[in-house]
Amino acid sequence: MQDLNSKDQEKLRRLIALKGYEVPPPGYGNLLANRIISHLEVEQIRSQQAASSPWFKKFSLRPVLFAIQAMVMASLFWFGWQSLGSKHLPQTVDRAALVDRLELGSAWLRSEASTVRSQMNVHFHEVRGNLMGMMQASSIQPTLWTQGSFRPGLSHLNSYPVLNH
Amino acid sequence: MVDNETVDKAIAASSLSSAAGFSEGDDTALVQASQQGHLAAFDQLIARYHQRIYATLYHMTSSHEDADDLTQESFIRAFKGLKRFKGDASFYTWVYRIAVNLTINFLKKRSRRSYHLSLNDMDLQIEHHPDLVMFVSENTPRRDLRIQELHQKLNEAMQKLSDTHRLTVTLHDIQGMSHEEISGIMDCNVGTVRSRLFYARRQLQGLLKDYLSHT
Repeated sequence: MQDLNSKDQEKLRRLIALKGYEVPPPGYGNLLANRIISHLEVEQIRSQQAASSPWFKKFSLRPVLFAIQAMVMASLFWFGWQSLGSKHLPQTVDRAALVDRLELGSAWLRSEASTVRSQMNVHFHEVRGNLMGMMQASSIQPTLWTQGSFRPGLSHLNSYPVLNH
Repeated sequence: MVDNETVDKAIAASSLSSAAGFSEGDDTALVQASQQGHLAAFDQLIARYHQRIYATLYHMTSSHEDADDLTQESFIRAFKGLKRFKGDASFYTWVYRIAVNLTINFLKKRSRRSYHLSLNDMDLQIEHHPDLVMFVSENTPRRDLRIQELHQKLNEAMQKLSDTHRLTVTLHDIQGMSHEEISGIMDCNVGTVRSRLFYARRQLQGLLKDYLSHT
């Protein structure tokens, strides 16, 4: 460790010490300190808010909804796949039995349709009768009223009506 | 628990001691108050140490912007980690260690990209310093340029040192710390500090020989 003689060492030390005069602009120190404290204050407020909010508010529903959706899709796909590949589907169909079942089904559908139609007729007559009665009894009659011109660019005329004498 | 009255007393005492001169003795009360989350107390600690920490980090990075970010991050980490501070070392040494480790990690990441010198952002309060007159003796219109050039050469030479060597030189030759203080900050023994200082100076002597030989 004899490479550096004391004179060179001293010169070098003084040269390096000149770097100590590189200082930030005046007022910088306060700005830095204020910035650090502001940052910490914001973090403190955030952590206090997070601590005081109820647990269920911290729980985001979005991932749960996504998971449910994915599970429903997956199960539908699985059931579809199972039913397509099922061995329990009848391979042969008894024609006579099928015709009997179709006839039974169509007779039931016809009877249901006629019942619904008759019920709808009754309700339609009731509602029409009530409405007509109300309209005749009321002093307020339905009118169609429009404001201003439909022509574009003339809307300002509607705000300031001009009287022509 | 530290009550508000104690915090106020600690801050008032700290302000008085700051006005009178630097005193590390009453850091304890401020640290305890800061550990309870009192930002006013931590503000006093920042006011005491931010300049020296910033200066060290600036000489380590040769960049005002990087030193600024790293100083801010160091204090934020220090505040968050205050609960782990047991008082084995002084607060000053502890926060310095945080800053130095953060900076060394930062420099490892930065080593792949080139650094930029931000001397233009700095205030060179040195024009009439006798040492500068010795190193930049020409009293010509180009003197300002020579000063700027000298600082740039110094920064470039510093950046050529390894991170640990640069830190040792910064703390000892620029910040004026003792070998013992540096060993506490760098978490090594005094002999290692001396050895690093020797090799760093020898390297710097080679890098700055133009300036040393003319004087």
